Amino acid sequence: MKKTTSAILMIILSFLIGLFLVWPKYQEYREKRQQLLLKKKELQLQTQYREKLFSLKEKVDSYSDQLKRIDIALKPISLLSFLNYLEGLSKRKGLILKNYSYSLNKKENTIDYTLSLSTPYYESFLNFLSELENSEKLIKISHISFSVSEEAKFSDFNVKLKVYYNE
Amino acid sequence: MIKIIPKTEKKSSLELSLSALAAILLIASMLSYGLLIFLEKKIPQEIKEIEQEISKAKAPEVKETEKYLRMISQKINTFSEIFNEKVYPSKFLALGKGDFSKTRKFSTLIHPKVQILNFSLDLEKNELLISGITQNYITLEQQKLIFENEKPLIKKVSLKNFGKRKDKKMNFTFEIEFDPKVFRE
Repeated sequence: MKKTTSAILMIILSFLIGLFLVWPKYQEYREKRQQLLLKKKELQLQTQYREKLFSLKEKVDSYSDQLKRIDIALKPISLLSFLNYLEGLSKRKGLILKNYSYSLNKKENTIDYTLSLSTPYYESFLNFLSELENSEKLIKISHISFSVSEEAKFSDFNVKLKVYYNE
Repeated sequence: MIKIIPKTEKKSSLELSLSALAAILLIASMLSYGLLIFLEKKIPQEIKEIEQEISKAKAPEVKETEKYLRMISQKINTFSEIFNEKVYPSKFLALGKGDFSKTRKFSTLIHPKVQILNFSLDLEKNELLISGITQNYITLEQQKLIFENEKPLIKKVSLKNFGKRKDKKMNFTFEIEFDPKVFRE
């Protein structure tokens, strides 16, 4: 009878330990384990992101030549350097740069130039335009006008340009 | 007597089993508790280690790389936006023969008996204003039809004004609106 009583008491004690110690501890453990899993997930995501980021950088760096060209195209060019380039280009193509004006267009990040050029040869003017179109700098020709006499002589060619730069 | 002895044996074996079960349960519950304390104590250290690794993953070099890639992306976007808007009027102005729809050369649209005297091309609006002279109403009408037949590359043609000169030649002004792709391809 004594043995039975002590066995029942032990079972009750086990039950009480389970209820008041093991179960709350298990809840605590489960909560902490959840936190750990979340942290592990965060680390996994961070690592994946980091790997992706560096592989993207590597990929971007492999296009360094093209990026250099973009840099040159968008690099701000001083007013005087550009005018010097225009003068040199017109001379090379057989045109005379008679007049020019410029203004800063902050809205479009451009410097807008208006050029007045003269040449008796239409082909020279086309070559001039073609070189501007294929220039390393981002140049957009926005307006072209010219007149021809009834004797088929060309007078001034007027060109408006937008030269882009990245701030 | 014979009946009483086995009854006692049964009772003690049941008691023994009950005691064993109770002991197992008690030991198991205590062990579980101990194990949970042990496992729970390990977690904060693991979390700390993971947090250190996370902060390593967020190192300044990552931020620098992010900044660098953002800058490159912005540059490429700006460039491609402008580049897609780029026009090539020298092709349009080049002299030549053939179909305008294929060559995109404006000279192929000019009637042989029409002479252009003034040319003004707005490449932002894709509008061309030309004035010139021709021999008579018929050639002027033919010129208008040539332009009109180039739809959809020519979106709109309007004969702004025309009149007869002292030398009986006709002068005229056309305003023509082109499809932007004429200057971009």
